[in-house]
Amino acid sequence: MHDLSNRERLTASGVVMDFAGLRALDDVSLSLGQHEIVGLIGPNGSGKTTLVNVLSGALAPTAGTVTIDGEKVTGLAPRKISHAGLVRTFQTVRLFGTLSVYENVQLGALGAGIRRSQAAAKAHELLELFGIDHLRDVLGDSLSYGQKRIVEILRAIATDCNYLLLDEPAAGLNEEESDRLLGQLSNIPDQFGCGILIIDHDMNLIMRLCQRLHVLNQGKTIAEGTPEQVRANPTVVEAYLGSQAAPEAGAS
Amino acid sequence: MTQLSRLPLARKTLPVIITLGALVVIAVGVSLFGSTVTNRIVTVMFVHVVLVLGLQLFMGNSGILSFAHVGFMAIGAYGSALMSIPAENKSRSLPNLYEPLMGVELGFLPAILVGAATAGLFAAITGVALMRLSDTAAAISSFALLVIINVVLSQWNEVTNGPRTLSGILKYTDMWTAFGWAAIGVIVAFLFKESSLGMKLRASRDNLHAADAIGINVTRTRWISFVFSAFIAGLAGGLWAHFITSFQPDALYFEMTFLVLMMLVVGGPHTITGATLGVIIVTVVNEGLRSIENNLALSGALPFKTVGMTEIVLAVVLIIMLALRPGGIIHTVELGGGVGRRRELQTSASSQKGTRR
Repeated sequence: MHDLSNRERLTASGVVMDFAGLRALDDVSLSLGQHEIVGLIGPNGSGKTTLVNVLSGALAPTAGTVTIDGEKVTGLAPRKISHAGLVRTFQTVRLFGTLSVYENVQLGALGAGIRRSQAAAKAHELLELFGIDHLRDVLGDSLSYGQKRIVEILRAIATDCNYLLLDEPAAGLNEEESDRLLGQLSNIPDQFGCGILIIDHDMNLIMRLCQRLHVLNQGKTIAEGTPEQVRANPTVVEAYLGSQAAPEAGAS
Repeated sequence: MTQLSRLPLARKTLPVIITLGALVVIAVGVSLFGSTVTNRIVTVMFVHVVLVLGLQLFMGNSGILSFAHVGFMAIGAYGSALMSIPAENKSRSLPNLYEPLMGVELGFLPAILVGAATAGLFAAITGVALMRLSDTAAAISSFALLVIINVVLSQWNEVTNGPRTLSGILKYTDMWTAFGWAAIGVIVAFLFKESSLGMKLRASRDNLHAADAIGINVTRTRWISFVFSAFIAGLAGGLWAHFITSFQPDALYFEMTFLVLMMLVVGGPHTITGATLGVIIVTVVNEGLRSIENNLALSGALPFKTVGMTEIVLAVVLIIMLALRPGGIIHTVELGGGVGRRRELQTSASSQKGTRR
């Protein structure tokens, strides 16, 4: 099935994931363009990380297909998927701890097969662009949590990917750091032609950052739409947002 | 700005200069003031530098423990000896050698290169399976490989003279030859560590899943490094064989493996300055203990036998080291590789504090 409209999209259709009798994902379909930010939200255990694992190749789905720019990539190894243009970050930051920030970011480019001199130039450019040039020779392990998050994202961007999956990038950040992250993330789609699928529990961040939201509950899609539509959706409020969203919705 | 851009270069070159400088001082010191005995000890030490840096290149950068490298050294030793032993000696020391090999008589350099290439080839074949494994499975398999190599060398009468001593090898390696190769080894190890291959390997050591997720082919990266590292171990074997001139398979087995791993672990497997320092320290301690052991035995001052004391003391030292400093003496940042790093850390720490407030 070669759909021309999916030429520049990441799509998942009818994805089912079973773990020994437990259905973690049940017929989930989702799509992401190269110039948008989509939020993936839902309560704990609703299948968000499982979906990211399926998309990034860490898990092979029981049923359903994943395509990147129209090419079917279902069940390919993470390395192959990253070469196809989709790179993820992890719920717990996974930096190369004994390597410098500069080397960490460079490795993203090297992993994508970019030549050394170009990789170095790219890393340099990204560090300047995100204002962490002063950290370039600091080892990964010596960074603060917030800095590690940013470096991990830059390492992913350095691969020249078209789709970025961020698994809870704001977890463990304070309000100020999370605000700065919001500003930096919102520019990525236009700057790099790289669409973002983001999981996070920080509703303030998600509502301000995303153009569209996709809500999962117990492995099923329960709502899709703009932040306003989702916030007004009674099923979502009951299952996930609860009282958290009600006063906010009232205030706006 | 110019100062800032010069710092990383100093960080990369200063450790090389320090390591080479230390080796030069030792070589010059021994050639001026050393006895025949110290000359011999230091020559073997330089060969060990080549071997340990070959091992560091793979083990230090990939984080995978390898017991097989002394086996690769043995292949290099036998392979090069077969190439260089003069035909007249061969008919005496290896009377049953296959006819085509009987007449082969290469010079020193081509002989040790052939030996090293044989070790590399063997690593290339076994590495296809071995490099898919991680952690304990990889370590145990590499141990099995060492045993296999030893058993084959001990049984292959035609080529190795079996478990008996192989003799008739010409003495080509002297202290300065060994020094030269050790210096090349240091430079190659540093270049490899900073190359894109070395960086990918270190990335896979620090976080396998993250390396995979950004598209690094970990198995292939490991395999290439394993083969290259086996080649260097084979080269060390060739140098060793043409210094010792007569040896048997068991000379390159458990005892040497233990000694070499100890050198790497004590000094610090992640750093080249550490690995080199480990070779120097363990050589000094080992030789010191050995001479104490011999003197005690000769003097008859003790009512019991002192054989094996050296190994016991070394083992205790290793255990203490692992408990107190598990990453080795120089564990993460190369000696001389931290120029200006502390100041940068301070500025980054203070800017963090600023944002938290």
